[in-house]
Amino acid sequence: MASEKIVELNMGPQHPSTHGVLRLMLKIKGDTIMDSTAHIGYLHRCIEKLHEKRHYMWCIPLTNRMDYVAALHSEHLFVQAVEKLMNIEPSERSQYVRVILLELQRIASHLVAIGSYGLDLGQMTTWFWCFKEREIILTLMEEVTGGRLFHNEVRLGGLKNDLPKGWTEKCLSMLTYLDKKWKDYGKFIENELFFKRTKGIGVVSKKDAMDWGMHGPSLRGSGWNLDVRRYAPYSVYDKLDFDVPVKDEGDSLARYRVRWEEVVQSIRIVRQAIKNLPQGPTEGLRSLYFTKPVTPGEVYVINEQAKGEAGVYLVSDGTSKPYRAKYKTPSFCNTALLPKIIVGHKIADIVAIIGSLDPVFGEVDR
Amino acid sequence: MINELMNIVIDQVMLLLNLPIFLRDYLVVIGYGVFASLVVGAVAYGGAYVERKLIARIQSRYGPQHPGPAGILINLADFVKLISKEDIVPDGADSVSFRWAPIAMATILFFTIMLLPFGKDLFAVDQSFSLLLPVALLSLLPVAILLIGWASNSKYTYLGALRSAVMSMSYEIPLLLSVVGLVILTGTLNIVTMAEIQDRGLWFVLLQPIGLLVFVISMIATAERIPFDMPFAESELVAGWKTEYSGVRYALTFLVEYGLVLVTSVIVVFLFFGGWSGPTSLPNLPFKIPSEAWLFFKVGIFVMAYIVMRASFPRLRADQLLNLCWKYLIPLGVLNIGIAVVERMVLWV
Amino acid sequence: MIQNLSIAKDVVEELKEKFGDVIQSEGDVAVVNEDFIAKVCKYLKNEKGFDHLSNLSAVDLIKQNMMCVVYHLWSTEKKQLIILKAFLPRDPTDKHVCHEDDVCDGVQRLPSISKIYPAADWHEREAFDLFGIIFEGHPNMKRLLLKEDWIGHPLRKDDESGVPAYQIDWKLAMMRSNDKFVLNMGSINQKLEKMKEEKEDGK
Repeated sequence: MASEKIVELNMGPQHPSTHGVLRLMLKIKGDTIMDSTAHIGYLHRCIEKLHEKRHYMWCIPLTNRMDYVAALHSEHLFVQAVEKLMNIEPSERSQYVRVILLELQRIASHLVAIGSYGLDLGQMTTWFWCFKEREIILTLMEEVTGGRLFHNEVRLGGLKNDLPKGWTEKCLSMLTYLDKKWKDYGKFIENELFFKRTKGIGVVSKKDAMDWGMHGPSLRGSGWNLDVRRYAPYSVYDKLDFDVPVKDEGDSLARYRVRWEEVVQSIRIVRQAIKNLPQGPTEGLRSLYFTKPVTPGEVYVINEQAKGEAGVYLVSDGTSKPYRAKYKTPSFCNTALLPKIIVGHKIADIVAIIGSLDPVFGEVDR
Repeated sequence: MINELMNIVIDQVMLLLNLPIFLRDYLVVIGYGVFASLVVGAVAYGGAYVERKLIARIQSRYGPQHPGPAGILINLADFVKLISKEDIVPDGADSVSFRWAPIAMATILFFTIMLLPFGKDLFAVDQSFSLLLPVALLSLLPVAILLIGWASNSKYTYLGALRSAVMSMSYEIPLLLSVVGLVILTGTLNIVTMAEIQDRGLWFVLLQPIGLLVFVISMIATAERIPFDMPFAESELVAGWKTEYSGVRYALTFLVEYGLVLVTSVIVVFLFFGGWSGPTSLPNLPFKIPSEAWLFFKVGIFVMAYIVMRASFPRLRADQLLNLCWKYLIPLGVLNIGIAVVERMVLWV
Repeated sequence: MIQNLSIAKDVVEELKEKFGDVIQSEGDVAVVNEDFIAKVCKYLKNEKGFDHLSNLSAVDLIKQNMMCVVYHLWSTEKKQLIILKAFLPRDPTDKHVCHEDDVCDGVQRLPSISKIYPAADWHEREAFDLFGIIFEGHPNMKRLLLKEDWIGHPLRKDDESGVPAYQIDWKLAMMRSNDKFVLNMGSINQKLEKMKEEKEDGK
């Protein structure tokens, strides 16, 4: 009865549920998607080109703007690359503090992902609760770094600010509060209607996930036990004890559950890091005015960001400005395979699938 | 109580204006119409206020605070804002249908409320078919929705209206099917009689739980609330068939939504929960509790249930809604009829 | 600790044995002749188990008049990285846009590995977009981040798409105002270009 011709529908860059500026051109027959193309680039801010014009120190605020939900991860990535190039090992305490802040950012990022996922599916309450918890984390970050979203905190060989007095107690009490609430939120979100919207939707098989270049919690939701903190450890992650959640089904529900579990594991990591926090200096090398030249060469460093495996390929020509900084971001790779996943699903499923892949368009477009 | 009050007022009016006796029935109907409008107004106003505050509290925030103490006058403020907006009719829209369809919907709703009883003696018309008539009138609403969707001259409102109409029409079948069992049990289509039977004996929720389940799910779908509001909330449809409305017409569609909530809650309370039945005097109270109070209390519980469901559930996809209706609810409704037949043979022999 | 990504040196040796002159090694990196990159990647993926394409980036080496494309491939079983590089001659006049139907005559071309590693799809499009390197055999060689009709490839070192703010001669701009407050409605670039022209005319 419905017309069998193929209609082209544009899910435009301004859209309430695409997690940012993504333009999807869909070819639909009735309610089912036959083919689609993704257009990105609406948030391209030439961050990589700007790197080439600034001293290393001044590139750090640029990296914040990529994944604006968990900004410290990109900073850490860039600074690690320069540290590897110059063979500087940061002090023990600064590494532990970095890990604490990074894992808090991971929790904050997953809160955004899960909250927005609930909102996209119609369960508005999840969004409010997740952002309420995120406010507490952002306040804690503000006490350390001075900024809620953009921190500019990590420096070569250390950090700009040390943890203020009494911060670790506040952090621990926040974690006990979040731990209790998180299990309740999990039970609230997972009801029968949620399963109907997410089970079996957007299934990515194990082979396809690796072939197509999936990263992060989405990859672990398809059965691959890959986490950079385990297979190429950096900072002090080899001394910390945590599990990597892996699920086999490969559908949106599995990806959501992997994120939910990761918050639990991150809470565990932060508690361990606070317990083992050594005393010592955290001051970065010539922290304020580092515009001296850097060893020439090239380096590739990967990190496990909140959204997946991110890498930076840094080429230095011996001056005080990077020659080329190429960022490989997980959301870029995940968005590339979006058109392949949504074929055969209904229009209402696109929202569920995008939410479960969790792209952040600052990272995609850079 | 309200009945007595109304009778007193009508008698006074007739005395004052020296009206002939045969006009009394018409005055009763008019009085009842006034009462029904007040009720709908109160439910739309108060229900919307309670919705905003309750959902806000569930979501760990406060809700409206300012106009009036604790934000009570928020809906009055919104209503004034809506009335003062410019009346926008889209270019190319069918002007008569676009303008009059929401008014038609509101009229249908008022008719339906006029037909409903609100207490033991508080009804305006003969109640012999009161189970069928409100539901039959409500089935005119999808027609109005289709008209609006087409008249708005937009591809997306048309799609939204089609989906909405299909959903409403499909869910009317289990709505009536689930109460056929009750008709078999009681032998009457008069919901006041059914409530009287429950008042004397057992509430039907204990005899017909499956019927209640099917009826409740169907009534949420008919009212198009979460978890069944996909036709409005689909990502590309903006707001479904309501998209092009602003100002007073938007207020009317809003009124229709809350009116549906009220109508379906009243029907379910009369059919399954005994209507006004409840103890007339509690040990610590010095006065007798009027029967209407119990009715409004139970209706209030159902309205709150609608609101809490809106805060807690995600939406179902459009094809999943229809799946639920045709594959699960209708067979359950038929099963329910079988159970009702068995009960009748066992209990009423 | 500083991250230690172990590099598969033995695999580089094996590649040199198998492919011969096509491969030279510079330290840990295997430099591959640009026409053979697809064959090498296929061998690495199917025989050697390098199943994860970690990174594909392009570097503009303007001083050596070359472009370089760097591939980082990771093996999930052996937890090893292999770095491949392909050097291309640099085309200074490559300032046009390639559409699907046009065949571009640039010398910056390389076989695409998107059939072997589908993950490379968007990475290659980005390299084309920002550097002008054409990947032959790519199903959709179009611009990704910039708009379709943009002219130029911004991340090349000699591209002049943007005028950085600190290169504007503010003193000149202020002097030209003759003590009046000049309010410019419109693009500041147009105004400054006009001032630049006037300055040159004046001289």
